[in-house]
Amino acid sequence: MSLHFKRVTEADAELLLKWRTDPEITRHMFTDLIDPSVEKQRAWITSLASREDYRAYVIYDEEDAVGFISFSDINKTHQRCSTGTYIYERSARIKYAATLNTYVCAYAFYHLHCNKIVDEVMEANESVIKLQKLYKARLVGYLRQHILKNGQFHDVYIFEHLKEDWEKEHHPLNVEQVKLAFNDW
Amino acid sequence: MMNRKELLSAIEKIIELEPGSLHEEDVLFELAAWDSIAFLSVIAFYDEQFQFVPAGEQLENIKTIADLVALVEQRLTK
Repeated sequence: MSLHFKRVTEADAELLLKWRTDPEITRHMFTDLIDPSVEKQRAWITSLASREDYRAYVIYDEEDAVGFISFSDINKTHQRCSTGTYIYERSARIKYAATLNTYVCAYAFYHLHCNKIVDEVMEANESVIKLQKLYKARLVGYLRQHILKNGQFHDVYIFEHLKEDWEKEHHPLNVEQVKLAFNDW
Repeated sequence: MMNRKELLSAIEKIIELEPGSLHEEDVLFELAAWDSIAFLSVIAFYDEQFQFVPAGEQLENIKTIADLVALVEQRLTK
């Protein structure tokens, strides 16, 4: 199996900090880290162990760490969550462009038992807005001046994807294949 | 039923390239226009036009335009 996902551990702190502070990554995130350091990153990773509402993974292409996935706002009561992904290197980003979202959605729907994925995307992140539409996520809202970052307000698009809709669509992988790719499923 | 030339033209249109600019031996990764959106747009077109999405292993190992075209041919000859 080429693509697989390992739960984030303290050993990933340095790598995640490098990605999380790269302007190419951070420019589309809602917040920037304040006084970032490996120690703070490690402490954040340690804190995840006690959280029911958040899970994070490093994405591996064979043995190479190439990106990050998070499942946030995991709500067991209402069976929904939000997702965030990035693949750092262009070659891996393109290679897995047609399959990555299937891994993410299958994990959310069949392992986290979510009924819905809700994602918020900053207006300036045009690529991800286009990708959400190609994933067949439904545009359900547009929030004006929703995020204040570096002294400027930013508008945000909201997309949702229901499990029942996802199950009617064609996907490149089945759930069993996705299951094998995660180290905690 | 589309022939190879028509399929190539459709791919050019989807990824917003000039007609006749793509060749089967072209390496996708070397094309400036080939990115995640282009890739997903072609697969969405296959799904809409031919009612199928190729298997993950095939998609993750595509290297050239010829590989992309072959996905449809393999499907239609099944």
